[in-house]
Amino acid sequence: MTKWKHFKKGIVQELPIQIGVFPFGIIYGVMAIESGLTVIQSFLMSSIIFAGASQIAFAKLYLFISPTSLLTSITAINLRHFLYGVSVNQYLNELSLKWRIIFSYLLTDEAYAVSIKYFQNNSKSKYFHYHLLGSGLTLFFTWQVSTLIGIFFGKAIPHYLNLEFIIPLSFIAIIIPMLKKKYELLACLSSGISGVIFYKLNIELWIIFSAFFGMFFGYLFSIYEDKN
Amino acid sequence: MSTWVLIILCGLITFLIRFAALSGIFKFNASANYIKLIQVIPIVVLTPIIFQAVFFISNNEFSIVDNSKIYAAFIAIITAIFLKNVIYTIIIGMSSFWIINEIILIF
Repeated sequence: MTKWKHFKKGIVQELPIQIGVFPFGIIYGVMAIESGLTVIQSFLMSSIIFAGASQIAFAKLYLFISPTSLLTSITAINLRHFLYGVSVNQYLNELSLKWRIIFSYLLTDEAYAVSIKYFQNNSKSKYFHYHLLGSGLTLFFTWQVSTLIGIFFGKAIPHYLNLEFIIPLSFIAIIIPMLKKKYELLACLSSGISGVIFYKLNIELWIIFSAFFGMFFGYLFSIYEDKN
Repeated sequence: MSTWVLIILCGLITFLIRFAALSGIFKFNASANYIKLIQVIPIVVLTPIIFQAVFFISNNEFSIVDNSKIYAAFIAIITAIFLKNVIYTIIIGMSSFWIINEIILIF
């Protein structure tokens, strides 16, 4: 398969998720302006940070907490990206530094979710990494445009539509077909339930802790299965 | 610290966290158990995000009763199991969410 075909697949498979990303970008744009950031700061943050949850946390918190606390919070929110990196690195470890730098910038939740599934099935193809380039750039483009719309016209979009609910729905669509073995199902449920508990307890690293819980229980169960 | 410096530092942190794993600085033993663990990462990282978005309503309040997102997520799960298609899952899940919201409002 050619580079272009992988790249195009990345774009096409990323597109449905953009329906959910778009309102999220708009929400960020509205919040950034309301929090007192200038138009230029609000807009450029989307390319400098390029991580939705962190940007929203920044806009929410930067006036109310110390710079150190803000930087700690952003680190905590983004730690899951380390796990994404470890996960895709098993497929990308032959690539040059240039590609690793590009993908370090483009590795967001939505691009990862779409491309990791593709990598699992297509990693034997020579240019499969172009898929992540396609999905990452699609998300980057959507994010910049939606941020701009949020900054200038965000208040015109009816809140009752709750379009941001599309993001968890798209993750459901991606995760469910991945659950093929019992230990994967157990990892899924234990990470989800512990996620609710840790989030409710206001633990900053709730995603990371719940991910480790999921891995731990899934792994224990797989050992138990292997022995029986 | 100025706002611009904070924005740039946050950008650097975000980039470096991703780069640390992708750079190959951290070497991992590619045993069968390690591969098994790595392959559940998408599941165990994305699932808590789904659960948080579904079970917490506005003001970060945990809710099961009258929470239309739970029913819509359940319908989306069934759709994903049978159709294995992202677009259909989003369309059916979102339509169910709006319809269930209306029904809850009526009753």
